[in-house]
Amino acid sequence: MKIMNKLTLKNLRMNKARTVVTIIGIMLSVALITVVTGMVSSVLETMIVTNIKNTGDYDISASGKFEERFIEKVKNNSDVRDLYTRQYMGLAEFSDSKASYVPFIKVFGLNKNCFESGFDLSLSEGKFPENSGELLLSQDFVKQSGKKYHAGDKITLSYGQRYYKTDKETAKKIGIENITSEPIRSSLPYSEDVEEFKKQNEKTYTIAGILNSSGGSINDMYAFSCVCVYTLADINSPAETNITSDDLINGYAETNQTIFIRFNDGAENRYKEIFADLLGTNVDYINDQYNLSEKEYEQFNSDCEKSGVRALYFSANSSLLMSKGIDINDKNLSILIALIGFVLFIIVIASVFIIRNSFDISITEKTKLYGMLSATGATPRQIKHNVYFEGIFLGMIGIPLGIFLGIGTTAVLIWICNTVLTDVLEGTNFIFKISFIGLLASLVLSAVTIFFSSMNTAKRASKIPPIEAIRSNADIKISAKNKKKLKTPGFITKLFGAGGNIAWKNMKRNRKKYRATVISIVLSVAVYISIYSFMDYNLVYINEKFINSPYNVEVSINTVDTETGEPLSPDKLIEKYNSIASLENVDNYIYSTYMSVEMSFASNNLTDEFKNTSYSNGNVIIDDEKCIVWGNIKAVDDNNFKKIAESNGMTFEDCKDKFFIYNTVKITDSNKKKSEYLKFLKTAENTPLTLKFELYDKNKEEYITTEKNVTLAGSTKYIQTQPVTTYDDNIPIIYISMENYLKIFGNNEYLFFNMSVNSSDADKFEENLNELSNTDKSIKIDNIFNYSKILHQLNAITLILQIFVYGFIIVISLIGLTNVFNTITANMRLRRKEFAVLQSIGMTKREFNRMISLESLLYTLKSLLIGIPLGIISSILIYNIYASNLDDGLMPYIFPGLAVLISTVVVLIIVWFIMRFSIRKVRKQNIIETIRNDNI
Amino acid sequence: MEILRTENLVKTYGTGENAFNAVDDISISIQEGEFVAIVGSSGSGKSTLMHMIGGVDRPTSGKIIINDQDITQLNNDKLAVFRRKNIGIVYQFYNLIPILTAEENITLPTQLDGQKTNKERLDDILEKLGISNKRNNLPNELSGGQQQRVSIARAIINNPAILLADEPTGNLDSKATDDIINLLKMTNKTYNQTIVMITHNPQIAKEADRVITIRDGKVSEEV
Repeated sequence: MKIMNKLTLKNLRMNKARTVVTIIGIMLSVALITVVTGMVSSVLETMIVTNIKNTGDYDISASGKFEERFIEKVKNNSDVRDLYTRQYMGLAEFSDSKASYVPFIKVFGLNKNCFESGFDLSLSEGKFPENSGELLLSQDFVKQSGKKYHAGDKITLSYGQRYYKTDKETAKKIGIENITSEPIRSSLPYSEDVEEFKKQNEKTYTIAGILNSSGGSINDMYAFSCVCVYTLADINSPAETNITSDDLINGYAETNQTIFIRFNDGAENRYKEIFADLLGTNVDYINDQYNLSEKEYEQFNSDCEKSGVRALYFSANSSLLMSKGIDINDKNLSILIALIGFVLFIIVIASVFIIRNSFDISITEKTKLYGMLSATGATPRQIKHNVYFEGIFLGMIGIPLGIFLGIGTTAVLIWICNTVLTDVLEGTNFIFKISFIGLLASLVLSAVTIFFSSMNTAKRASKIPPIEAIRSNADIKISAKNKKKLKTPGFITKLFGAGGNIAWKNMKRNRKKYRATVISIVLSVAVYISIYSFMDYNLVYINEKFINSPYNVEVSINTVDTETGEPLSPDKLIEKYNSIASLENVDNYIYSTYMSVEMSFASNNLTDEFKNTSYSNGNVIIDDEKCIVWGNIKAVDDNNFKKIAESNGMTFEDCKDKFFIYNTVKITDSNKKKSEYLKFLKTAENTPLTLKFELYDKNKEEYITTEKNVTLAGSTKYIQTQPVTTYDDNIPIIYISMENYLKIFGNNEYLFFNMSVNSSDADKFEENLNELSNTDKSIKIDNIFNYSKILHQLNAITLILQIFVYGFIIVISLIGLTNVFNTITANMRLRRKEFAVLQSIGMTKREFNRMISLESLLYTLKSLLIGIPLGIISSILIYNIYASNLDDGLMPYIFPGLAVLISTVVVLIIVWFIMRFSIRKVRKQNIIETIRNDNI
Repeated sequence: MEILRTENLVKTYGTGENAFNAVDDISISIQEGEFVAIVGSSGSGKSTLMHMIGGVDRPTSGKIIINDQDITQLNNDKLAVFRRKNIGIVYQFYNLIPILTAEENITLPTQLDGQKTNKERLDDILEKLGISNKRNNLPNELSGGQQQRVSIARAIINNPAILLADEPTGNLDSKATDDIINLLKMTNKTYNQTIVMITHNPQIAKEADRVITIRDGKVSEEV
């Protein structure tokens, strides 16, 4: 056996190029598998760390009223690692608050554990509280406080309770007949006019430190109108204020006690059972918390009470648990797992394909050797083992190298993600982690792959009869096709001579030899074109939506008259919007409003193309006289209306009362998924039309239909009012000034505006707007959509997606490339004798080169002719999926021309290089030696 | 007329102390239409000699003149062209291109020369060699003897100055051997084809007009 192994090693050493290339192929496959498992373990670890940062390191949180005996029971339970507790100490006046609508401070007592390990608490200054006389201030507090506090300062808190005012007006406003004497729940937002704060006691604290982070779940989610501060206090320490004895207000628990339980690492997956056990109740009640029948609910409460727990509400920290692999019932997660499995499957299949081909080639070259070994007495089993030996040897080199490469690549990828996605991740960090299980999985998967690749080959090798060693005729099998008289196309012979003839016939009769190469090229090209298309559509979609927009920030505000509490009157409203428009960092702006009305035009003024379109549009009714259509009257701010006026050669003053139409309507046929842009009216100037609409009459308290005859003054281009295209151009739009709008629709009760801004420094603008909202109480910011930020994030994500997807493709193609290299070089070597004969008959160097060039050209073209159409077809499929899932606008099909070009050029170059490499080796041979020497 | 002449042909392998002359100063002359057998034991240098004559190997020194052309002066490309026009070679085994049919193999030298195949000559040769019915078969469908016939046909299709045969029957059974030798003789007589055949079998050598014995790289005797 040792001799045979030695032979194998010698053979490998003699064919250095092929051996190295095969090892590279194995390395790449293993590396790819390792990267997949490495990314999975890294992402899981990142999710765990991020979740802990966002929520806290706990499995279950529960709020209610917990007796000390229950707390002790939890602490002493052998499966519980940590218990974190939060006690509501009381409500205090926030006298230094910058805003009148945040008038309270909620004080929470946390147990020592919380400050040590449970939550993401980082300090910007000072230290954690060491007793109940020290406070830890939150960031919210610092932002809201007009007075600056530092660690070491003293602060006096006036504790008390909120109560509803007892007068009749308040009762009417709240809608409660008899106001109880109970305090208002701290979770209700503050409404200044109906409530009052009754002080109970004061306490002076020393400020221990200031928090830098949000803290996760110890932060009270329902703290509207409050900021939170923390002190050190165990659960069940006395609160600073008197909360009603049962700690229930209006029937709801004041959530004054919350516990967070972290079970031991090994026990986490049984968290439900352990929790049920602690409560002394059935685990089914824990599973079905929201679906209990009345009887079950009663039983559950009674069990809890027996264990010392009342008014229990609990929830699992599901995001953290999921990242640890517990409680995975999310549909999205199973899809993700399926996706990863699919990717691994592809990698394994590609690897088996390549490695097996490599072994096959090795066998074919050693046919003589195996035949001879068989003749000298080696059993089939021994030969099989010899093949396995080659596999093991190559694997032992390739697999460890591949694993290292995979680990390194994972680290690089994580680094890239962190660098490119810094803004998107907003502080989260991707963590690089390689799990032992992941590595083991890679190792096993790779070893299995190599084993399966060599298994079939080993079987074939063991069956080679000795006679084949001598005859070596096994290469060209007789088949009916081969018998046909094959005519080479005339132009081939003319261009490439006799060599071309041979090359052509080789391609036609010798398909099997190059099948692996052709398949590799076909797959690589097809996949590359598909992916390219996919990426392209992503970019086009993003471009269309964001980049070509004239505005990058959308502002959404609520306005209220601070004195009356009513909506602002129209001119006051316009004032407010103008004040926003005049903020710094506003390069461009528009604010607008609109009303849907029924418009009727004279039919003879409609364009023929509009009248005759075959597309259906349910909005339009046309008869011989009139055309009735629903449209929008849009009012824009004076600045923008001025531009419309000027584009028609008039001044703003002239046009204040005038109507301008956007004279194009988009008709969409949803069946054909196509749309047409049609000119609407033949002439817009001096065109009369009738508007019909409903206005609400406050006095009569009903809707009144109004008709108004107006005349168009001209047309204008489409005025974009929002950063993201809204595609509302399927109906006619008429633009008017604000003044005009108020004149026509003035009585309309609720006036709303859309505002969009273009800012070169959108973040600064956001800051300015926030400041304005703080000083002007009548402006409340609902939302600010910073599209440049969103665009930036989308671009970053797309970049990462591109890196991963293209990286994947390139590696798979490289693996395929090793295959192509091996096949071509092996085929060249196997035909050495053939080449020698040709040389001896009298083929010149040039003719020989031409023959080889044509041969490589032929099967490369064959591969491209299959691969490119396949790629195009799948790009059409991808387009269909995209187009059918986008309901806004229609994306045109983009032919992946560049991808086709790139793949063609790359494939031709690569194959050419490989051919040249093998030709060089063949040409150097001595004709005589080759022909005579059977031992080569 | 003299169709082949070698002058002081030497082929040296190895360097310095290990230098060894496979062909050691051989000068021979062959007339057109002669059927010459070159015999010698293994390692005597006969194959080396023949391959130099066939232009497939280069001598260390000396001249080879075929049809008044000194082929040692030709560069590789010109030599290749010369070979396909003027020399036909038949080897012991593996002569044929596996993916071409018998007919395609035979017409290969013509095609390389860019000439059109003379159909009549082709049919004639196929018939004379008894392989007309196998013209469309691939080499792996032919027996050893049939393959050699195809090789011979290919070697003579271009009417070369010399047909060189290196142990053409070494791989064949006795019947096939007789057939091939008879075919060679027929070719020699019918087409006045000059044939130089290497063999180590004295029986076969006897069938030739002239026998040149090579020993240790030198001509030992001529019969």
